[in-house]
This record gives sequence, structure tokens and C-alpha cells, in this order.
Amino acid sequence: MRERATQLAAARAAWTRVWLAVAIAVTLFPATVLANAVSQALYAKGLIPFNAEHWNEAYQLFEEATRADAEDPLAAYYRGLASARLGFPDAAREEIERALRLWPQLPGAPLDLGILYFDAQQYEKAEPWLQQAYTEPHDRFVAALFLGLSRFRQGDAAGAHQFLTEAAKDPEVRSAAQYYDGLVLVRQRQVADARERFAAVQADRPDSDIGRASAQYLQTGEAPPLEPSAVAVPMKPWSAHAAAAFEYDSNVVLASSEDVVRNNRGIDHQSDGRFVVDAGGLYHVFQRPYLDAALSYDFSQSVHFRLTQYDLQGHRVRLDLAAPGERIQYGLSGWYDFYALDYQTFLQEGVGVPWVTFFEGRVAATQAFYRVAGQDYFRGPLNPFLDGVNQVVGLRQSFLLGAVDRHIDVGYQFDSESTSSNNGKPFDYLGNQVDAEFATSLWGLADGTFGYLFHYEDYEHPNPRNASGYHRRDRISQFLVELTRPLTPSLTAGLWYIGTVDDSNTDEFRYNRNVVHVGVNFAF
Amino acid sequence: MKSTRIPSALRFALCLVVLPCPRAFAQTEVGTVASTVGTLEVQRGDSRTWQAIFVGAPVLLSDGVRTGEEAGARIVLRDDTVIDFSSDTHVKIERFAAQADPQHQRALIHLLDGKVRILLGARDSAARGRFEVETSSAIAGGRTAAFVVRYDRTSKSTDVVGVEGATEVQGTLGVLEAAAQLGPRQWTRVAPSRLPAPPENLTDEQLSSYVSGLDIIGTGSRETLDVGHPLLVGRLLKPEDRPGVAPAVGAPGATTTASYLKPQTPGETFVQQRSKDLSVVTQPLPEFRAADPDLPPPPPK
Repeated sequence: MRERATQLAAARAAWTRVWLAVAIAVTLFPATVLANAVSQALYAKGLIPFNAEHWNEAYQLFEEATRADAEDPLAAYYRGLASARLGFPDAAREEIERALRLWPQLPGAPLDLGILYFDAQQYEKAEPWLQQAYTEPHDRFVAALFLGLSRFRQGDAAGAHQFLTEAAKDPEVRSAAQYYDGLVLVRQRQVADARERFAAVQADRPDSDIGRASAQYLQTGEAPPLEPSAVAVPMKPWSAHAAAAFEYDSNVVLASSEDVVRNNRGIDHQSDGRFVVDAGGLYHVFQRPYLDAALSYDFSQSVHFRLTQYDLQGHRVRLDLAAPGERIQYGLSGWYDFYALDYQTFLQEGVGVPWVTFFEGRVAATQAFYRVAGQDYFRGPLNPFLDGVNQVVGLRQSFLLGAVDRHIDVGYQFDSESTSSNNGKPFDYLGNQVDAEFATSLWGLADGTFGYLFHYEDYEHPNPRNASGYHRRDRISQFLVELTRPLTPSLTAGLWYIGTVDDSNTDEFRYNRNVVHVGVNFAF
Repeated sequence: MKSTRIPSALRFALCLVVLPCPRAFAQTEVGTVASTVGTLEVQRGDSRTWQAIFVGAPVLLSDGVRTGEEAGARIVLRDDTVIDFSSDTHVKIERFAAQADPQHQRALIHLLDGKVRILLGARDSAARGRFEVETSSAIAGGRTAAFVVRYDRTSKSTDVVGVEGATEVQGTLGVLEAAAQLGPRQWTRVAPSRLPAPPENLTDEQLSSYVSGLDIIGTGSRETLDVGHPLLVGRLLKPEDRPGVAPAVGAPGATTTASYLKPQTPGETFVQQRSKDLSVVTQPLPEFRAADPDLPPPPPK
């Protein structure tokens, strides 16, 4: 108790200079908020026990003041503050919100509401109040600290880093800001910068919890796995990204692995390198606890060194509707894709995916979905043979594997390709697919994802290219190895390999493909 | 030289029994500082020195109290009277009504310079005596009123503004004359050696000007909920808020029941998610270009 009193006294003394300017600045009350003399006198009397931290006595006097004048904003505000100090945050929020309705410019109240919602872990509700406080010079840095920590709790590392950096400009909150910024950085694998923050905290506050924790980390140097984030909906209503990469592709043209077929087609170059750029943005057009609607656009372009006829440009407009929930989530996603190959119209596709996710506790989740895609090729050689509709029903299961940054996803889906060609439909098939993905942190150095997919396509009609008259059957295996590492809170480097083995029973469609990708992604 | 000293206990006993004891009376605590912004100083009794005082400090009978530039203060007296000080204000607590028979007693402060607001509303009028503010030119007071008194030391004129209830104003020269009665939002000026001018109504702007500098939010110190918050005093808010400690699944520190998993919207394979070049062109175009796919392949060359 004595320690807390000392802390309070020290904090108050430190802030007095800052607050002095505020107190003087607000001496011109608007006439509409002048309370009656009884209320003002009771409120003034309550300030004495309030200052002495006799919260109960103060609360009683503030309550009498509000009874004397229900429109007295300061009596309501201090009743709220006393409630908070007494450990009744709900009542405190109610009173302070009432005070703000009576006097919308009441200094300090937005910060208090932000802190109360923050303490209740209602970060979405805390955010607008903290943002409001952030615009007030006397509350700016404290609000930045709480905003940073709020973003940190929600897994928004970039936002957290931005606000905590701002907060660290104020000596009064610097240590706390640097400590939590250090946590953000260490979980972003930026160990050197994190150590710098922790060293400063250790030097400034050696006897505090954060000082001791910093010292411990500086001695052990261990980096923890990624922080879990329970909030599916990001706080920021928009996001954008830009990516650039180099890829090596061993079989751009999907040339058959059979020499005789390749020779027959005169294919002498099948491998190539390419640059790939990708950029896009997302905006949450509607964000409520019961529904999130996000509209996004994405552009991509690949440019090959030699096989420029395979340069692919993509445009995607997408709408995601999702009903967030802790136990069950459901939604509908739809997008329209337009592709140009060799800078000529190639394919347009519309896709719709209704889905539902059931969470089994905090460590497992099951997804069920249906996907329908309509494909329309603009020109040959695939038009009109591959124009058609592909329908998929699928189930996915995700498991956490003992740590929040280690999980495995497995899935099964059945699909049906129905082409619109009236000439034998040689490309209609029924497919079965299984896949698995395993993601984990790799000793704090990078995040790794490893995947395997097997797709069995059983073509329904004989393919004229199969000399034996068999139905075409493709057994497609795909392998993924991916490493990513954040370079800054916004910039991530990525390296992946995807191998494809199409073990078709038809020579013309049997091929192998290996692609290596090295790139960076900037998200903000 | 050996000095002769009277023991303090004996001095106290003498004071009680024999000696006149003006200081004992003067040191009666009559109020407490509730708010301060900037400099607030007190001059105790007959002392010539001023010392700074802060929120929670007692105010004694006969104390002089003054504020500095860009300062303000609020004192709550034991009878629940509130005195709000503007900047550059100097008062002396002259008299204070005792608890016994308050109806027949009178509290008095002397305003030597500056501006004060008096709030008399916190206690029933039957339980309090009359409260007066005196300057060199005027006396203003009442039992249930709220009023502002501004005294200009140079011109020695006094402005009195009624804020709430009825305020009585007299000139120090004509105390036998009937007092001028001020209602809310009325004011009068008392020039030296004159009677109060007839009361006039105030506009909103004039009233705002008179109450300007008299309001302080809270005690004047920072009292928002960040003060003493564990985050700002270097505490860890959650057990997992430590580098090198992974948040354990289902640990007591975990504060939400939401899943750790964030499954992506299904419908695309890991290849489709990562590369358009691998997922858009999925058929060997040379084969299709060589011949209509509905036809048998051309024979080998």
C-alpha cells in the first residue's frame, strides 16, 4: 500500500507541470457546464479525501454532488474516477461517459475511458477513446503507449511499433514504451533492435518488473514464439501491400517429361526466370462485432526473361463477408479474376466460397466450405475446351501443436470439373484432393511452412490423345517449403520452393515443375 | 553563559492557565487546501515569511494566503464554505464561525488583492453562520449565496457579482446603511468611501469574464487513470509479457477464450495462394496449340 502511495505521489509530481497548463487552459468553463453551488462545494470537498486516496469518502461526496446537480460534469467525472480507484470499472465507465455527454471537451476523460476499456481487454472500444486522447497534447504520449499496447495485444506489430516509438519520446513513459516495443521487435525476430530497447529499460528502471525482465532476456537471449492473436478483425480499416520477387521456373511451358513428346512439339526451352510484382489494398467497408465486410483489389504481373509469351498479368477484385465469433465463424467470399497472357486477354473467372469455421477450444478448428468457380477463356488455344464450371466441397482441420506458433492443417476436398465444350468433353473430371500444411517457428530465425498436396483427377471421357484409349488420369503431387523472416515490422523476406509432379497416364500431360521464389513483401 | 529555558510543557500549562494565548487561538485549523495550480503560499499568524503549501495542507485562522501569477487555488473551510482563488490574489482569514450557535456567528476573510469566489451552498443555512468577504471598500456576504468579489488594490474599488442565491453588499463607510441585494447574474461596484452602486444585470460574456480563472479541474494535479497504472510504474501486465517466455496455451495469464488459430478463408490451395503463374496456366499450351485437343495428337516427326 505504501509502495503504491509512493508511486502515485511520484507520478503526480512528475505530471504536475504538464497538467498545470491544462488546468489553466480549461479555466474558462462554458456557461452550460456551470454546476450549482451545492454540487460544486460538495465536489470541492470530495477532492480532499480523493487526494488522500480515501476513495470511499471521496466517492460519497461526489455522489452527493451528483445528487445535488445531475448535470454537473465534474462531479460525475470524479465519481467515475473514484469508482475506478475503488475497483468498479463498469460503474466508472458509465459515469465518465455521462460526464463526457455533459461536457464533450472534458479534459482527460477520453484517456480514462480508453484505459478502462483497455484494462477490460475491450481493445476495439478502447481504440476510439485513445485515438481521441492522442490528439490532445497533454495526453498524447500516454495515449500512444496504450494504443501501442492495444495493437500489440491484437497482433498488429506494425501499429504497435509505430505508437510505442511515439510514446518513447516522453521520458515519463519511455521505459514502458521501450519495453513493449522490445517485445514487439523480439517477436518480429529483430533481436538486435530488441536488445537495444531492453538495455535502455534495464538501465532506466533496474528495480522494476520490466527492468528485471529486460536484464533476464539480455542474459539468456532467448526469443519467444509469436504472440497469439485472438482478434480476427484488424483494428485498422485498411491495409496495403507491395511485393517484388524473382522466380526460377524449371518448366514454364509445362512440357511433357517424355522426350518424345517434347521433341515432337519442338520444345527446346522450357525453363526460365521471371520477375514478379504484386500490389494491392484492402478496406473494411463495414466493421462491427457481428459482421466484417472487406473489399480488396490485387494486381500482379510476371515478366519472363525469354519466354515472354508466358508473361501473366492478373487483376482481382474481392469481397469478404465474415461474422466473427469465438466459437463459430462463417462467411461468404467472392472474387472476380481477370488474366492477360502475353498482354492479351486470356481468362476471366468468378469464384464464390461460402464457409464456416468451428473452433474446438482454443487449439483446434474445423472448416467446411463449398466453392464454385466459372471459368471463361477469351481465346485459343484453351477456348472453348476448358470453359466450364468447377465445384468443390471441402473439409479442413487445424491443430495447434503445443505452441501458439506451431500448427498443422489437413484438408480433403472433392471437386467436379464440368466443361461447356460440346465436342466430347475430354476435360471433364472428378477429383479428390488431400493436403497438409505444417507451420512452425524455426529456432527464432524464421518461420517455416511445409506442405504437401495430392490431387487425383479422374477424367470421365476418353481422351483422344491417349493412344490406348484409356481415360486420362492425373496424379498430381505438389510440395511446398517456405521460409519467411520479418526484416522490419512492415517488411518481410520470403523464400519458397514449390515442386509439382503430374504423373498423368497420358504422355502429353505428364510433367515435372520446380519453382524457386525469392522476394520481399512490404505491408502497411 | 548559561541560558535559562522554560520547559515546553510548563510553557503550555502557563499558556492555558495564566498567559493570554493569542497564538493558541490563531492556530485553529479552519480549512484545507483542495486544489492548487501554480504557486500557493501561506503566511502563518504573525510570521513575516511566506511558505508554499499544497493540496491537503491545513489553513489556520489568521493565515494569510496568496496565489502567484497564472495560479489558482481552492480552499474548503470546515463549515463547507469553498473559497476559489484567482491568480495574484491575497486574502487573510480573519474570523471563523465556531460550531456552537453558528446562526449568531460570522466568518470573515479579508480580500487584500485579486479575486475570489465564495460557494456557501454545501450546508443548510440553519447550520451555518453568515460568511463575509471584506475589502478596504466593501463587505459582501450571505448565508446561502455564491458570489465573486474582485478587489483592485490600486483603485481600491470592489466589484461584487452574484452567482447564485442572494448576496448582500455594503460599503465599509456606510455599514449602517441598508445593504444592496444582488441576485444571480447581477453585479455592483463599490468605490472607496462610497455606497454600492445600484445592481445591474450581467451579460454571459461579463459573467464569464468574472468567473474566469476561478475553476480548476480536480486538485490541479494529474488524476487520470494512467497515474499509478501498473503499465506506467514498470509492472508486467501479463505473465507472458516477458521476452523469452512463450504464452502457454490455456495458461492462467491467457485472458481470452478465443482460439489461437486463425484459419484463412478456404477455397485456395497453398499453390494458388502463392503464385498466379503456377495456378492459372495449368495445361500445356504447346499441346493445345499443336492440334485441337479433341483430336488425336499429331504423329511424331
